[in-house]
Amino acid sequence: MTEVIGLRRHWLSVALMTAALVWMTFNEEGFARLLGLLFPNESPLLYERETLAALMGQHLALAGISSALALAIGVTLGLVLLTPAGSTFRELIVNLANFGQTFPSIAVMAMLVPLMGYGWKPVVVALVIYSVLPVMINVVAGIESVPPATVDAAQGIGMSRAQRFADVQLPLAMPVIMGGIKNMLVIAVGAATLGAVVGAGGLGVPIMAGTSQFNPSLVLEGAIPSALLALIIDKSL
Amino acid sequence: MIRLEHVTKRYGEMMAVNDVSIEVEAGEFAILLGPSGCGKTTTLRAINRMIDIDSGSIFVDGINVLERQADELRRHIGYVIQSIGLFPHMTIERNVATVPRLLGWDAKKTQTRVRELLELVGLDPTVYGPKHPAQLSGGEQQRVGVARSLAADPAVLLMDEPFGALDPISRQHLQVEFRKLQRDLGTTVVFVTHDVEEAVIMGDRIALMKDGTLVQFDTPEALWLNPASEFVCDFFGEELALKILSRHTVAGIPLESGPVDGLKHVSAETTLKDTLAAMVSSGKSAIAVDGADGVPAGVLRFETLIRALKEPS
Repeated sequence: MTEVIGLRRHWLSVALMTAALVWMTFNEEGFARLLGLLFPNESPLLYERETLAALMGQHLALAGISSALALAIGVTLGLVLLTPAGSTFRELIVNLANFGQTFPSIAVMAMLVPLMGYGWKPVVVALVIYSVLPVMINVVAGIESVPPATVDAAQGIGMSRAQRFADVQLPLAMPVIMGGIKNMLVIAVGAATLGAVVGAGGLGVPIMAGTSQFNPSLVLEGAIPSALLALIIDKSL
Repeated sequence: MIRLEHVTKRYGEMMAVNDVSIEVEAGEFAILLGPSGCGKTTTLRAINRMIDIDSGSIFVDGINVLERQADELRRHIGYVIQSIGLFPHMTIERNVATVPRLLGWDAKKTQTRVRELLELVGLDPTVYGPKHPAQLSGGEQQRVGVARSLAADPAVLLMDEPFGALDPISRQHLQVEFRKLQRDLGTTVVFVTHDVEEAVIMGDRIALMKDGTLVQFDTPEALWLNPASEFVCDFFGEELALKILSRHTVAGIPLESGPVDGLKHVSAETTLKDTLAAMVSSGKSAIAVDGADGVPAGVLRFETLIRALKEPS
């Protein structure tokens, strides 16, 4: 019973946040009025050159494409690290991924612009470099968290390597792997605001405009939806 | 049924198993016993090819195990390990159905077999089938482990300290129940333990190992009466005699006639261990043995009991 109530409350907050996000994205007048209550002397209250819906679309595309790539690369690297051959490279790859995460994304973008030009490409590359680590590490940690005795029993009763992986190791590792994917998505949604710096659009655009014009209303126009997105992902996965 | 010939396994410099030859008869309950690191688990795991041996050969039912595909071989040999061998994300039903699934049985046959197996190990299928392992006690989980290993009706069952993680009460229960089940099914069992009591209670024969070598493979009685070396005596200790008492009942021991006044009573099915305990607690060196009708059939004297043990029938 408590479980059901806990579950409901959980989904209730996700539903409310989603409703708020949809409302502010498609009802600019309403959102502007709300921001006007906070900042009565600011003008404009919203970014004028593009609608919030368009910015949101760019933002989701940036975060979505880079997440899909980071997921594919992270899972592949994680599985490679789990093979006997891959485990010899483990330290090297983990260190590289660590380095990728500590190296500032904005610097990566800046370095990539001369090579790839302005636009979404350098952003996606920078985001992928930034978010491969949590996926990869959690794939390895998840598979390795499966009790050896369970895997031993699976082998002992005649499951092949592939069957052990699909029926025992992967399902038992899933909670840990999902944790990594969630982390990655939250990171990607937040970091995609940096896309504005190299002209890739997204919710970072009004934030940047607001910063240069000393207009906090514009900053919040980008920051609130981006924070809501991250929270929704965090709560619903 | 199972024949090990000069089996040897090295780990680097260490000889984990050194030239071990054992032959286990069909339907026999064989124990691999010895201190930690004596090679008993390695020997067991060599039988279903969980470990590849360096030299020697192993035959199960007359066929060299190396000639069979390893996964296929394992599906026809039961395997039970200490505690957590169950799959925590699957229901009890699905756990028990694992091997039938691997063998490609149809759903109906599998379901019937699963119900049958759960009943066999004393678990109500409708109650336990839909549960997950974490909802069961340790003893119940190990029953499921046994049921799962018996799914394909294997002729051979390998068990590695299966009751090691259980509390003493459920452990004793399972030992007795499992032994009875094994006799009924006629399964050949190889059972690893480091617990002398468990070995003596359950085993038809005990293979005592030390530093990778087989010291002696014999019945508990023979290990007691004709130990092959000083190590055998030291390992089992004086208490072996007491443990062997629990393997025999009063039946078959000659009784004397005489007054039964003031004596405790036991039946012919009472184990000699319990009989001795009753003597000790009553403070008398004799005990009345009741016949099937409940009327005293005669008196068993302490001296007779001791002698009977030294001359096993």
